Amino acid sequence: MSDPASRCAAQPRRRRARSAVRLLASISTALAAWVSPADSRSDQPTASDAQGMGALTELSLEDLMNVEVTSVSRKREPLSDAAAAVYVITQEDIRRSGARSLPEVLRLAPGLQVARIDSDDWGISARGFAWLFANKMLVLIDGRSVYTRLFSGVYWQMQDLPLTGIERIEVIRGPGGALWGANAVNGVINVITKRAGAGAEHQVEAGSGSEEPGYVAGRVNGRLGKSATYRLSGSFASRDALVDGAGFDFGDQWSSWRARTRLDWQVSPRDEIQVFAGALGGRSHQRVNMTLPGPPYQQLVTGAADFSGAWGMGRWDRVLSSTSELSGAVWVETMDRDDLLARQAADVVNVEMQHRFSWGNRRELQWGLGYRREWFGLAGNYTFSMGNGGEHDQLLSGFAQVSLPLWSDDLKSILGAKLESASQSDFEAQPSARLLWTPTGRQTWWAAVSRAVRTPSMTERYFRYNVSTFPVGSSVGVASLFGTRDLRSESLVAWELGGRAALGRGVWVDLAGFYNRYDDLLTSEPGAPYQESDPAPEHTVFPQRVGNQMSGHSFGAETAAQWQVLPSWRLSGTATWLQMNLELDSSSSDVSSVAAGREHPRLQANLRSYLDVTDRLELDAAGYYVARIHEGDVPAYFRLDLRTSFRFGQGLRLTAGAENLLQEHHREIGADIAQTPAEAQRAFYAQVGIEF
Amino acid sequence: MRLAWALHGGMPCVVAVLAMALGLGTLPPAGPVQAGPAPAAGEGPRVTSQDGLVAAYLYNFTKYVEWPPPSFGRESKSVVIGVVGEPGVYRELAQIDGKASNGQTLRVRWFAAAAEAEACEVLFVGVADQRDRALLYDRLAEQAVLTVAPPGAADHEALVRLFMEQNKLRFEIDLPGAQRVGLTISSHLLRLARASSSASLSGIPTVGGQ
Repeated sequence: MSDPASRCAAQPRRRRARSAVRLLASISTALAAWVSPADSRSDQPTASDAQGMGALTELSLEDLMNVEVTSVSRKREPLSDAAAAVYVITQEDIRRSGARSLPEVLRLAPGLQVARIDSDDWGISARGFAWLFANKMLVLIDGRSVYTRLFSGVYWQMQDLPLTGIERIEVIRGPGGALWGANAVNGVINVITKRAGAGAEHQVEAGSGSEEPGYVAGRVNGRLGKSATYRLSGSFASRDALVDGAGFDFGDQWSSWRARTRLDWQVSPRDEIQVFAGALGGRSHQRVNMTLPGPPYQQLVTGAADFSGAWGMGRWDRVLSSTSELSGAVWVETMDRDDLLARQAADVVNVEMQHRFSWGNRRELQWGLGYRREWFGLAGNYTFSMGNGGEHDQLLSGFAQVSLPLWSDDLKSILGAKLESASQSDFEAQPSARLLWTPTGRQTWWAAVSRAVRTPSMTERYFRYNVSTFPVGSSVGVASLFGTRDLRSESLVAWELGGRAALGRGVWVDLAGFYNRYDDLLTSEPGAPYQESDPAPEHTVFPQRVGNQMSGHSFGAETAAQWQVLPSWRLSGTATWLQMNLELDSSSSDVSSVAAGREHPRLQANLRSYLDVTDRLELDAAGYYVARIHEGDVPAYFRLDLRTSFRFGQGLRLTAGAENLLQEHHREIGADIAQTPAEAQRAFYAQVGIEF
Repeated sequence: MRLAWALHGGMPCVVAVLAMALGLGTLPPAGPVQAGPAPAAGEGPRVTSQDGLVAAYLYNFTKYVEWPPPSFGRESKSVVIGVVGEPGVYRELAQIDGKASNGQTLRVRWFAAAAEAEACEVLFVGVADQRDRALLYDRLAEQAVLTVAPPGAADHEALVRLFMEQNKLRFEIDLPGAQRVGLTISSHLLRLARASSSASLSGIPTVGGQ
């Protein structure tokens, strides 16, 4: 396998790294100077806490009612009052799901298709389009988007984090509204990690299993002074290979380590600063079908692929008054991957700010600005390479959203718009209009219509992918897929409706329905063949260029329900139904892209039972059903997971479980470009956790 | 129509975003419009922490409410204030854990999430998620728990609802609801609640709320 493409030059990356560091330094200096305590207006309490709770207990209730609060606690937005299809996966759900990684936890949410590709890859998307390079989702961890503009998707093995560190996961299907950043087209996944709360200070877990032979994680919570708390965690996991259709080892084992830290610092009653940082590294084993420039035309290559990354983020929230809040965030991130298909590196700098203020009764305006710059280096090979122009990318965005009550206190309208401009493209408007009706405290009904766009990724604009080579007369022909520089954004207009209600006796139900109209979806348009002489010998190229000539629609419904049958027994379930129909524009000569409309299961459902047999012993079961995927002939499957956990004393917990009990192994997705799927296997695991 | 952006390395953009953020941050705090006369100088101590004030209210509620005996199988000598979420309020309240009041001992407990909350004499329901909150109230139904909702929460089921009015903390009481679960609210507390709340029970003014 030759490697003729120019290597990602070390020099430009060092320059970029230096300028990123300079940028970060100037931002932190500015921040520190601004936040320093000399603020005589706010009557900050003295260290003796004379105005704290101790002194307040001396006051009578009448006196308390005259006490003036000069700084209000930051309002945390109750997401479940959002006018969108939201599902919150709680800590309890995560802990008792038996999932061993973040992608597996996402199976709990309605509307998401989570398909295992191999031991460290998943195809995850909401409302269709799930595959290795799924590109219509916005995925955030603590507000930091973790997708790469290289293909507008997520490398899931690089975003894995210890599940015990997750506070909750908010899964939003549909564009969600103007508040969410770029790439929120089919949905948003927002992972929020835990602060150091009043919980245990130290925790260690270690486990082993047939799919995960080694797992160890540790966490330390602590306080720094009176007003800051921190959390440090590290973990290592080694995962076994999956199997192919015949049950043979797929050779895709991998291992990785992760370290994260989080600092929450209440600098003053008005200001909170949060600092997040992390690093990860690992090695996975891959198998890729590589195209060769001559006979035998194709070769299955296997080998080790290292990956590593690091990131840091600073977030600051300031309460300006009881009606106005401001927040800003800066993050930098770097990633390095030695995939068999391409060696790639990316550095990202992102700066954003948001302001929220309210006036009158229940009227609120939020607006914000953001800027993201990403630098890429990619060293490809004969199969996959990037042309000139794919070295950097920037995205400028702004949003505004206003909430206004209508006619009565129960009805609220939310109007918003996002404006985005990627490198060398015009600003694209993404308006959204929503209605929220809360007739009682136990019911919410909402309706929304919104437009969302997905700006083309770097590969879609600059890549060359040699799909296959074959003999042509006495020489060779190659079918190549080329990116298109001036590709248009894909766009979506989504019409949605839904409601959620607490029906009493511990029953909660959530329903959402939608109709999506897509336009400018990507196709590959054949062009005229031509001769090429690099690499020698001369050969014929049969080009296809990425175009925007497909449109279509999808519709469906999602439901989630929960029933607290007894204080010790809870049942939860979801069901998802999706129908999609894509069609080519009359100008298109594409032959394969319409299949993207048949790569989802029409129906998915799950039912989970969580039983506290005693207050120390838990017994949980989860059953999943995923219907057949027509494209790729992936049969329907049932999945059963079981888990039990016993707590000794205060801090020792023993957990054991099994996944995929019903079948030895089963496939979850079909084959695609760079996607050679393995089969998910039956697995057993056991784990010990200690808190002290 | 193309906007001309002289984005040379992106620095001007970053500087612009930062300048806006810092500029806004240094604006003097804009208070809400005052409908009545401004408070006279020296009227009451100034407190900067809303959490501390909320904690003080929760402490005071225990003095003016009577719970039906026996309370949850516990010694009737202790009154437990539970806080769900809101670690700031819990940290303030923790300072009076173990304090003696009216011949009873006050205890303070914290629950990280609604699912873990247990029935206490007073429960501060700092649960933002509507689903979790509704399920918690289902579990507490018919129990003599004085549920208190934080300011700004769209919580129609709590027996006591706190809200901010011109930078001062006020409260409302759902008397029929409290009587239904067997709680006796002293007339002193009711008088203060009625005096402080200009709106009817159903229309809660929420500052900057949903």
